Amino acid sequence: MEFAATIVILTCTYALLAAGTVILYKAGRVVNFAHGELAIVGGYVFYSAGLMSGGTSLWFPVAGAVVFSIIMGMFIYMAMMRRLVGEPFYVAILVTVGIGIVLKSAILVIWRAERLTIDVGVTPAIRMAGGATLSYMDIASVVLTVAFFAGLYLFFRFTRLGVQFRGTAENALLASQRGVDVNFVLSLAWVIAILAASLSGVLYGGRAFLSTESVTIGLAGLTAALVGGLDSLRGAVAGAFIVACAQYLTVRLVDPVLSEAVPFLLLVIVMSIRPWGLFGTQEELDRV
Amino acid sequence: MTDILLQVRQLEVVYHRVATAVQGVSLEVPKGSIVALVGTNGAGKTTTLRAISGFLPSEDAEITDGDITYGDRRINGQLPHQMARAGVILVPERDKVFGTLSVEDNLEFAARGGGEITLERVLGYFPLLTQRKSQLAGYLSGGEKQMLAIGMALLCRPTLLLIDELSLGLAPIVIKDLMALLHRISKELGLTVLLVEQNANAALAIADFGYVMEGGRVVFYGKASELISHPDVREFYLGGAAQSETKSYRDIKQYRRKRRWWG
Ligand SMILES: Nc1ncnc2c1ncn2[C@@H]1O[C@H](COP(=O)(O)OP(=O)(O)OP(=O)(O)O)[C@@H](O)[C@H]1O
Ligand SMILES: [Mg+2]
Repeated sequence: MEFAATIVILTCTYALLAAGTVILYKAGRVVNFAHGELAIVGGYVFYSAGLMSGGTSLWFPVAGAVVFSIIMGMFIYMAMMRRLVGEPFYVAILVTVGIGIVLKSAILVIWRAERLTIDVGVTPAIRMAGGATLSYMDIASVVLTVAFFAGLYLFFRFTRLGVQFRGTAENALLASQRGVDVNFVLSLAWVIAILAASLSGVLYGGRAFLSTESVTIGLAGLTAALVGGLDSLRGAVAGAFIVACAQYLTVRLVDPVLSEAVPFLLLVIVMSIRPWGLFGTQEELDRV
Repeated sequence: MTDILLQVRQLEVVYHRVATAVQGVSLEVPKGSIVALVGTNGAGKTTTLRAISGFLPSEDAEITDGDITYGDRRINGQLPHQMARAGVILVPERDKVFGTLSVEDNLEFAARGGGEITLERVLGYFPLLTQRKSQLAGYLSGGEKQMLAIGMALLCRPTLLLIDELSLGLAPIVIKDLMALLHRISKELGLTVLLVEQNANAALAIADFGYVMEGGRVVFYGKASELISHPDVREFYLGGAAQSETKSYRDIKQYRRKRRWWG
C-alpha cells in the first residue's frame, strides 16, 4: 500500500510537468528545458505568498502562484519566444535553457536557496488499510491533478477556445486567417503550462522540499513527456507513471542515490527503442 | 458608378528579402462583384491574394511597394487575423481545413456568431457536410474539403471572400456545380469575391471582371465577357485558339511579342 501511494503521488507530480511540456510542444513546437525551474519557483512563490498573508488563508498563496504563472507565461512568450520565428528550432531550446539558469539564480538571490517544505497547515496523516499513511496533502495532490487533467480535457474538447487552440497547434496560418490571434493562443499555452508546473512544484514542495536541487524534477517531467510521446497528453500520464515506478523501484531495490539518474537512463532507453514515444506520432519526429 | 471595395495599386511582394514574386500589380474589385484572377503557374496569383489577406511574421514575406486599400483603409502589412476580423476571408490553396479536427469542430472554429450567416444556412448550401459532421476533416475527399473550407470561410462573416483555386483537384462536373453554387451564394449574401483560378474558362463564366497575370504582372484585364472572346487570351490562357489549325512555334512567338504589359 505504501508503495502504491508513493508511486501515485510521484506520478501526479510528473504528469503535471509532462502535460505542460506536451502543451508547449504541440502549440509551438518548442521543448522547454526550464520547466523544472519554473515549477520550483512557482512553489517558492506559493510559499512566500503564504508567509506574507500570515498563513491564514489558502487563497493568497494560490493567487500568488496563479499571478506568477500568468505574468511568467505572457512574458516568456511575448518577450522571447515570439521573436524567434524563422530561427532554427535549437535557438528556442537554448533560450529555454537560459531561462532555467536565470530562474535558478533567482532562487539563490531571492530565497537564498533556502531548503524549505510547504506546509499548508492540514493534519499530517490518516491511516489506511494495510498500514500506509496518507496526508491530506497527498489526497489533495491526486484530486488536483485529476481535476487539472479533466479540466484540460473539457477545455480542449468542448470550448470554442479549446477548439481554436487545437487548430492553431495544427496550422497557425489557417487559424490566423480564420480570425484567431495566434500570439494570444501561444501565450495561453505558456500560461497553462506554467500553471501546471507551479502546481507540481507546490505538490513536490509539500511532500519533499524546495531547493535549487529540486529543479531536477524538470528532467523527470521531460522524460515522462518523451516516454509518452511529446505530442500526446495521454502519453504524458502514462510516461509519468513509468518514470515514477522506475524511480521508486530503483530507490527501493538498488540504491537511493540513483534516483536522479533514473529518468535520464529511461530517456536513453526510450530514445533508442521507440524515439517517438509510446503514444506519439512517428511523423512528428521529423520536425524535432 | 460602382463603389470599389478593394483596390490594389502597384503591388510588389518579396519573399525572403530576395525573391520578387509580384511586381506592379494593380487591380480593382467593385463591391458585390465577382472578379476572376487567372494565369499560368507561378504567375503570382497566390502571392497577390496572400498579400491582401496578410502574412504571418514567420513567413518572411514583405510588401515592398504599392498600396492595398480595403474600403477606405490602407491595409498593407496587416496580420491575417486582423484582416479576417475586418471581413477579408481567404480560402487558401493548400491546407484549407484543420485535418486533425472533426468537420463540426472546423465549423465551430470559424463561427463568429451573429450576422445572417448561420451554421444551418451553411449546411443548407453544403448538405454533404451534415453527414460527415463527426468525421475528421483530414479524411474528407478533395471536393468535400473544398466545401468545408468555403463553409468555414462563410461562417467568418466575410465581406470580401478571397478564394485560391476553387477547382484544384476536382472533377469538371463538380467544378461546374461549385462555381454555380459560389455564384448563388455571393448573390444571396451580397458577397464580393476575388477568385483565383487555373481553370480560366470556369472562372470567367461566373465572373463580372477578369485579370490575367503572368510572371508577376497583370497582362490583360477587362470585363469577363470580353476576356473570354479576346483572341490572345483564348490562345494563351483558355486553351486553344479561335481557329482550329495547329500553330507552329514561330506563330506562338509572335503572340508573345504582341502581348502588352499592364500596371
Ligand atoms: N514562400 C515562398 N518563398 C519564396 N518564393 C515563393 C514563395 N511562394 C511563392 N514564391 C514564388 O513566387 C512566385 C509566384 O508564386 P505564386 O504561388 O504566387 O504563383 P501562383 O500564380 O499562385 O501559381 P500556381 O498557379 O502554381 O498556384 C513563384 O515564382 C514562386 O516560386
Ligand atoms: Mg497559387
